[in-house]
Amino acid sequence: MDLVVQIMFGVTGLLILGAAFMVVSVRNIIHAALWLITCFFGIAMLYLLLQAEFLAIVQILLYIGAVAVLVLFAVMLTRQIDDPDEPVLFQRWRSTLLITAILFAAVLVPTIYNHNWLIFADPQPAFAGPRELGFAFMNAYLLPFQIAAVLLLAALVGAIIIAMEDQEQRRVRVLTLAEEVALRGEREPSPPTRPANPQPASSSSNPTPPPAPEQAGEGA
Amino acid sequence: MPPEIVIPAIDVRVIAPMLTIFAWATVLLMVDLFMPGKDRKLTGYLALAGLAVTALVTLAVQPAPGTSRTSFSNMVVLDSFGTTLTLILLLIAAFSIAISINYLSYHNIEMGEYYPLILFATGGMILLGQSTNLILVFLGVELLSITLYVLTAFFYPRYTSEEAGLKYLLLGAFAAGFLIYGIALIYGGAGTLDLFEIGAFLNTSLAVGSAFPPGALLVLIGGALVLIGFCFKISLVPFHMWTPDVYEGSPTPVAAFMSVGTKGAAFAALLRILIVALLPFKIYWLPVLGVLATLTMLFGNIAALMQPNMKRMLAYSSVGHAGYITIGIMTAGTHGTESFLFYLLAYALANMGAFAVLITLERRGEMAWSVDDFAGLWKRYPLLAIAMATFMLSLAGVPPTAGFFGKFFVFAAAWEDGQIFLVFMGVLSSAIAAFFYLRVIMRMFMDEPVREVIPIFNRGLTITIGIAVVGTIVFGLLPTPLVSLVQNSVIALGVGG
Repeated sequence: MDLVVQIMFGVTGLLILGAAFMVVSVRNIIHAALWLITCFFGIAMLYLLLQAEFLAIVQILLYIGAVAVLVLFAVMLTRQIDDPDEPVLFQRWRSTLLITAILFAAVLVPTIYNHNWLIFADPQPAFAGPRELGFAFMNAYLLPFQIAAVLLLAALVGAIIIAMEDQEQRRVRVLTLAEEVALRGEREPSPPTRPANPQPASSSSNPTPPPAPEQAGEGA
Repeated sequence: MPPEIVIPAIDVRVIAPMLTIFAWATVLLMVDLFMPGKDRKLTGYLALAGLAVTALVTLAVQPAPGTSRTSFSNMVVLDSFGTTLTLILLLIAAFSIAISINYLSYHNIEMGEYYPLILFATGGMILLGQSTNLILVFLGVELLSITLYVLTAFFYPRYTSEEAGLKYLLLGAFAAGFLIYGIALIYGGAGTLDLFEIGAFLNTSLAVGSAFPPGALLVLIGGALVLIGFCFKISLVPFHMWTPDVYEGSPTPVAAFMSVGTKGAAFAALLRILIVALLPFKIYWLPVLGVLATLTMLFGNIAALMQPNMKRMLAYSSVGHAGYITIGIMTAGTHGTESFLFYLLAYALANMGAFAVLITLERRGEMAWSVDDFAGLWKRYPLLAIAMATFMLSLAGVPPTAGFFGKFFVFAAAWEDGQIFLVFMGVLSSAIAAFFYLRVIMRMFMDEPVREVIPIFNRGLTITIGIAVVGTIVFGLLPTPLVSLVQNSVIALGVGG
């Protein structure tokens, strides 16, 4: 049993290291994001081996479900960043590697060496595991849990409304009459868009006003 | 093996109003997707139907007078105060939607999501009026605020609306920081977020000795931070800086909705916090609120005096009115709760009506918000001028309008509570306020038109203005039914009381 755990730990560790290496070395940035997801999965497996089920689930939900998907979206929405002539590693990567490795070791090695590891011989009773958390969500905090869902839905819908439409194109739709006329390069102001309000001065001088495209969307 | 997780006994009736409105909003989002064509008026009418259904549900589940129901680990309470407030908020939301339906398409910003967002915000307001737990208070404030950030910027093709949305978002986030930090400190001091338990904790810990126990001190500091967070939301001076800019930039129906709905809900939550949880600290918060109310009444009305822009004038006047409402909640122990509800309804009718009149004068792109545009309105559109005059008189607090009784009840409650100075300042600032309200009336009736302004009428606007005028005058002449309604709207002071 113990040996199986050791072997699994080794395999998972290799998977994480390999995936992390691929993240920084592949050329295609989408592939890098996919490798990042693999790396996150490996870390979730480590948590499972440590019997931290809740952390494992949170790792998958937050890092893979939200962060990685966000990265993918950001990559897809920003165009023209994949230049085949651009070198993957920039020139002084060896000295950079050395410096970061030294800094990393300077912090981690003394920490690991001096730390008083609390290793329990037998598993301790969980203080707050997924079970207790789920219980709290479904009992005492049921209503805040649900309201938070409503809050997220409203925020999501609002964000989409604000962000989705092409802003410049939409700005054209709320121009004032004067601005609209200026855009069309006319001398005379076109008649007001309200049909109930004819202005004789402008309609006599400009008998055939060009149809305003926004008039279609207007209600009575 | 028996099931270990027992479904807790919940009383769905307690949350039935907000459950209805949230469910309706969610379904409406989906229905709107499948609606053919670009016309989104049907979504608006469906949202109105949702508000009507919610009102019916609210009436169906209302508790017997003097009783209350709690559920969900005592996090929400359904008392007659909450029921009355819910009905007022639903009326405000219905007015806002009615004046929006044609406004949005006229200004080319029609999107179906507008109406579900209003419903979500209304649900958040109802939640604020009912919650007895600081977690829910925070969630309610955020639900309300995040929805309103979007609605404020709904006119985002116009730069002022974009600016208003961003300003409101930044200041709102700032206020949320105060609020959540205060809540955390209260939890650190009292070890609970339940309003009843915080009140009990303070009573026991302050009764122990003369020294100020550290837990109570933390609650005091936390309470002050929570108060600051709320002051931003209800725009009390000196936390009011955002109000005129945001009201001016946002779509006019949204400004109307914010000016009454947000204030009413935030005041209700603050009222519950002050009365249920922090009552032992009344000696501390009473003078603070008194100073804030005085500053707010004076500053709001004096600033409104100098405004040539009607929309900004109404924004400053709403700041001033927040001061009067503050007097109402300060004296909530005696008759303040009733005066708060009455004032809120009177203010809602007059303010929604005034904003509706503003919308009739609003052209696409060019805004007829100057006081000059009201000049001579009586000669061309006598009915519109009379309606606007009614709203102005009610806002100024002149009999026989509902606004007069609103102010009267607030001042009477303050007098009874011994706040003579506040009554004096309130009357003084009302006199200042009367000047600029009457100036609008004078220009409408006495002056010649400065420039040609043609109002637009449609069904939603006409009905809203009509109901608001009739309500303002009827409640001004016969306040008795409303008084008996608000007198029964007592706040639940204990669990299941």
